[in-house]
Amino acid sequence: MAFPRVLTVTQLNDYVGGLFAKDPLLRNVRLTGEVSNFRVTASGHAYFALKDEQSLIRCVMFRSDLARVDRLPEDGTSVIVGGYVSLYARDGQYQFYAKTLELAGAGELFLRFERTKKKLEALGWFDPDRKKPLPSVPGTVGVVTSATGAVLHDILNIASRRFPGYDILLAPSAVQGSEAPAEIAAAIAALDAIDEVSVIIVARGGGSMEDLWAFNEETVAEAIYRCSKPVVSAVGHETDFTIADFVADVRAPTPSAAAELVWPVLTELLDELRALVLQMERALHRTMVQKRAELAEAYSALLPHHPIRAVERDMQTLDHLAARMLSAVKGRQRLFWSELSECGARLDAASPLSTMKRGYAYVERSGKGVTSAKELTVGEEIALTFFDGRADATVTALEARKEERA
Amino acid sequence: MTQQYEASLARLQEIAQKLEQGGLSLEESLKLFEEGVSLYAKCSKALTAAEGRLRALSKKAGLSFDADEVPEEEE
Repeated sequence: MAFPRVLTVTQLNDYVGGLFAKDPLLRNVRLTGEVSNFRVTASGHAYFALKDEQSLIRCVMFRSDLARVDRLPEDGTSVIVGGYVSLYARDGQYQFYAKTLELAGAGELFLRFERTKKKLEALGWFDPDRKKPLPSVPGTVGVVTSATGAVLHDILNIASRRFPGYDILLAPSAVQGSEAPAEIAAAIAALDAIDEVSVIIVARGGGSMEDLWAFNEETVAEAIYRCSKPVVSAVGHETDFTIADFVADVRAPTPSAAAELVWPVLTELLDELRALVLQMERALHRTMVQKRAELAEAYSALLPHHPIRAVERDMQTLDHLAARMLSAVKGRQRLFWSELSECGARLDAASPLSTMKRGYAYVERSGKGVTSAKELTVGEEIALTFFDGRADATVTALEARKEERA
Repeated sequence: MTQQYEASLARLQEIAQKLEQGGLSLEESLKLFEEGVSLYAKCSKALTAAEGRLRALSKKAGLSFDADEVPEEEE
């Protein structure tokens, strides 16, 4: 058998290198794998290997390309690199020359999340002082979520338990997939336009970061930012944070928790109300009592100056005068009586009747008293008055006594 | 109650005094006595009438004529 001609090592490597260069696939490849042994040398070039379960390829990324990479990968990170395959003649090894490098899957999403968050934070969309408070008692509650998921069921369940007579308006929306961000944004805007809606819950159940991704999109963030009504976000589980959570006025850890934040317990509310009314009534009562006391005090301060006092005083004076008058009149009356009775007694004592009782009689002739026998003549009619009666008599004899001189 | 009463009483007192002094005839003293008795009755009647009028006036004014006490004057 004839041996082919002998080549130098360089000749062979140049030849193989030429084959790589001519292949259109190898000239422009996008390759995914897990980074291992990533290092940047003093020259600024990066050297690493990409591997999957079975294989490995050495990679190099020059300084100028490396400068355009957002975030350098750590070992174990899944990345997508873009570039070409060539042969490194010195070592006789083919390797991948990476022109671009981006994090694959969750890694990439996380980066985008961080970028968006930083941007919106800088715009002031997360500022605490632009957060709107929730109404203490909600009117109609707008809900943006999937019409079919368990989330709506959970929300309705909590609402009916806490606030019988609750009012919900559902704006159904896809909550994952490429259409989701626009649909969610449109649903928020639609609910915002309805006057009766007082608060909006934007909710989604748990899922992977990819599942929840729509809530990290700027479209949704902007719709929440523009919304004039308070928005409660409730996306995924307690540990999941989305951009929507940062823009929303209140972040609820879960959709059920959102419902609890929005609807107060009606019976507790009524109890509070009753307590308030009672408190008001008591305060009012206290005030009334106090005012009444003040009034009574003012009145009693006024009383000594009341005109009725003067009247009362005058009345008393009058009473007193009347009593004095009466007393004086009565005294005078008594005096009269005593004077009179004294006269009566004196009259009685000096009564001529007592003299007559001793046997004297009083002589009258023709109604005139006769005091001397000389005044009489025989045969005259005279009247004798005794102390107890009268007698008529006729003078039958007369005898005059000689007058005696003292 | 007029001056008539005063005059009557004065006359009654005069009669009583005259009778007490004595020196009168029986006829005179009897006449004075009769006058005195009549004056006494007249005076007594006048006093009783006055009293009745006072009582009626007091009652009309809301005062009690028969109450004896005089209220203490204030101050």
